[in-house]
Amino acid sequence: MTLALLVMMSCNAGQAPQFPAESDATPAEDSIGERLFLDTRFAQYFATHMTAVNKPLAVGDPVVAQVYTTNGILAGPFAGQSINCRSCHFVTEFQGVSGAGNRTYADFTTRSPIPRPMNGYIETPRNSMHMVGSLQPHPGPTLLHFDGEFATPEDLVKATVTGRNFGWAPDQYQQALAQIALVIRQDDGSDELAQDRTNGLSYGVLFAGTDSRITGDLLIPAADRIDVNSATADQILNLVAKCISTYMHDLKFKQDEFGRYIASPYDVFLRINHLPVQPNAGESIPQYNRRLYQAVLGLGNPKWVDGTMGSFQYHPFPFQFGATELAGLKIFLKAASNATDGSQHAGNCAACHQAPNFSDFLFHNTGVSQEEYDGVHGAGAFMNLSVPSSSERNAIYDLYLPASANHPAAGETFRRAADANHPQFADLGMWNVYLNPDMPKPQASLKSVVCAAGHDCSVDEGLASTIAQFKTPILRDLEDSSPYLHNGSKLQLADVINFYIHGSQLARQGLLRNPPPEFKAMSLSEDDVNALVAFLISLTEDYDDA
Amino acid sequence: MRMSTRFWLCAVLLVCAPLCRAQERPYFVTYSDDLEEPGNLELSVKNTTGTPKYGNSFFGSTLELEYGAKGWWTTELYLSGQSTSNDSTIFTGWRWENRFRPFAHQHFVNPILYVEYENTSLADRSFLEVTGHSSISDLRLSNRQARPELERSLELKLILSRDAKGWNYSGNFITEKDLNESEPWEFGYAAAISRPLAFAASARECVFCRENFSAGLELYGGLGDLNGFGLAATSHYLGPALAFNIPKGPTVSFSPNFGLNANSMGVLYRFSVSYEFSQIFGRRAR
Repeated sequence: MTLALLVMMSCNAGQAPQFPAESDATPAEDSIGERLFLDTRFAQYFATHMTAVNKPLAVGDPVVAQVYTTNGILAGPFAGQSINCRSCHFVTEFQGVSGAGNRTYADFTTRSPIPRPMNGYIETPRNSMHMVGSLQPHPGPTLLHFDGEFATPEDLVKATVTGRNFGWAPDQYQQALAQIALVIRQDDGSDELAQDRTNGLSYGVLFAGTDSRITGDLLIPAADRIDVNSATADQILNLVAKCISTYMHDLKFKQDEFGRYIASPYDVFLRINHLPVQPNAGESIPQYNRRLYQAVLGLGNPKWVDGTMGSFQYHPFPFQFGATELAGLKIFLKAASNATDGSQHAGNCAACHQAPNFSDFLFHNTGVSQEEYDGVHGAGAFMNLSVPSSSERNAIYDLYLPASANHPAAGETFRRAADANHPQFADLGMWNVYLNPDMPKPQASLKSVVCAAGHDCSVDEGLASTIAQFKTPILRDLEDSSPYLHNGSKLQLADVINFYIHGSQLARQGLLRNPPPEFKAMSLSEDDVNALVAFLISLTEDYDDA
Repeated sequence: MRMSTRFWLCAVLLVCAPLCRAQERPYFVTYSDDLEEPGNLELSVKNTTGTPKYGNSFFGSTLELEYGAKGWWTTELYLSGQSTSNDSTIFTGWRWENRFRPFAHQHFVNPILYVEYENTSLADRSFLEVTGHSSISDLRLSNRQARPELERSLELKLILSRDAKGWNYSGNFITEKDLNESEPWEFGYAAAISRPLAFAASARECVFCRENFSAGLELYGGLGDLNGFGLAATSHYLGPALAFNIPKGPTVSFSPNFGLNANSMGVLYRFSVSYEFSQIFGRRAR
């Protein structure tokens, strides 16, 4: 027996087993949703330039001819066609292309071009937020887009395919709806996309769900099926939105069947060191993060991750989690006590970027809009920017709030990039949506966020608390979603860390407008940058939508 | 919290306690060559409790009905449940086990063949055996995550046992095949030794006499699977075991099992109570 024990102790018996392989349960609407996501015929350009639904355009929309990146311009994968969802949410279109590479359903630029100038815009007001993981189950409400404009993915899809990003003006909803219904009704499944994704079956056949040629993986549940010829345009749009949102739900960073992340060096590090990889039953996510920090601190003899435990196919750096990454993890998780300077090596990052998803899916003002505005108008300008009260804002909707079907000519003053020629332009994020009478759907969810325990959410105080708040992005696989922040203003991860060092300093000095309370526990300095960057890189995985 | 499965199971046994008696070895995982007397029914509850590192504490309980069908054949039914702190109390599955003695007479080493069908979920915490690449990570899964993961498997054991000079030496080689998923055969082992604290009975009737106690040591763990046989990425436990055979009463056993590597829990506490009903269907021929 003693011999057996000795053998056991010396033979890697304690090495952690692999987690199960990635879960692969795909609903039928997923494949159809992907085809709809890629379909280029819902755009206003296609509607005005097509000769028939199933015939390609003679001349494509110039907006998709090229793709802008921070490293230059690339040929667009949808050149010769018109815009689709994928035009701003790439995946493998630029795999292996120098200066580009895979994306986590994000684009490559600071703000994405839109098909035609509208309300003074020639590009989207913000960077394309990466979509992978955005519908990951989490506590609290679902709110999508940087400013929480949508409470469901279906609402997001409907607004996108009938909105400005597809070339439709705010008062063209009915035309957009008619175009979508036309495409769905007249599609004959003859194009390459239909061949690839849905076995050459038309949308009409797929949506009816009765044809014997429909394979099981493409069979829409009976309760969702419609006859596109007798269904209303609204019913068709609803099913289009449902299919695309099902597809969106399936966009996740690699997890096993129990929802445990498995693919990044960080995930491997947790597993081989037997550290907790997700909250226990009955444990909140903040509690889990505090427990993880204690566990990491107590790690006496950590096992490091190296190239023998994995490799990157799409990234040039090694698959590793070593001492530097661990130091970064500790800084990431640590909350400073009574921070008066940057000496505590405490990022308090996990207060918002909570493991294991590395997002709280909520909204915070980290000072991005202030930095942008002050960069144009001078230090302190954003602090002095006049922002109206709720009653004033809503009374002069067209002056302040985003364009909508009810207010198609609205100026969107506070949903714009800072501009030297327009000092009133700024991006106030969630402020544009909260209590906005033209955006009723997300209000209940937003209120639950604004009125979270301890917050003053009386009308004007609540609205003021949303100034410059933006949704917390997921930090997994950041290498595939640069440039960073909602305005794409940071090209490198080190730039982001330095931005936080500066922002938390401003907050301590009382110079950050509407500062997040989480900054009180942030105490970072230049000494912490390399370790934090190393840790953030350890969250990289080979995302390729396979 | 509602009265949980564990309390219900314990209550059944406590009510039955005065009715029965049993003589048991102190093993929890390892089988010896002992089979149930034909016609006898043994009722027992095996309990397991522990706290996986960074996980929630759990209490697993298994009700075991063991019947001596023939002198060479014992059949058993297990019903298992568990309760996890901050989580829930759930039924985790059942097992039907059969043990066969191929040779009628005693040999230098006595073999027993064991065949079991089990229908349990990943949330099972009975620890009736450890096979394959089991990990402490799986013990941290919530009941909501683990319960839907059903395993319908066939388990075979070769039980070898020998009694010599008052000691019992038993070893089990375990192999298990999941029938509802394409997973490879998994392997495990269990080994134990034990002996009564005294061989000679006291002259007068007593409860706490040494001969009513037996003590031993038990070791068990996984041996990987067909794709990776061996000790890598497996869990193992070792612990002393003590059984108290209460005269004209039940047998109570206790064993703290200590995890031998990082894949194992630190300590797993096990205790059981067992009772034997004689000839429940009347006297039968062997």
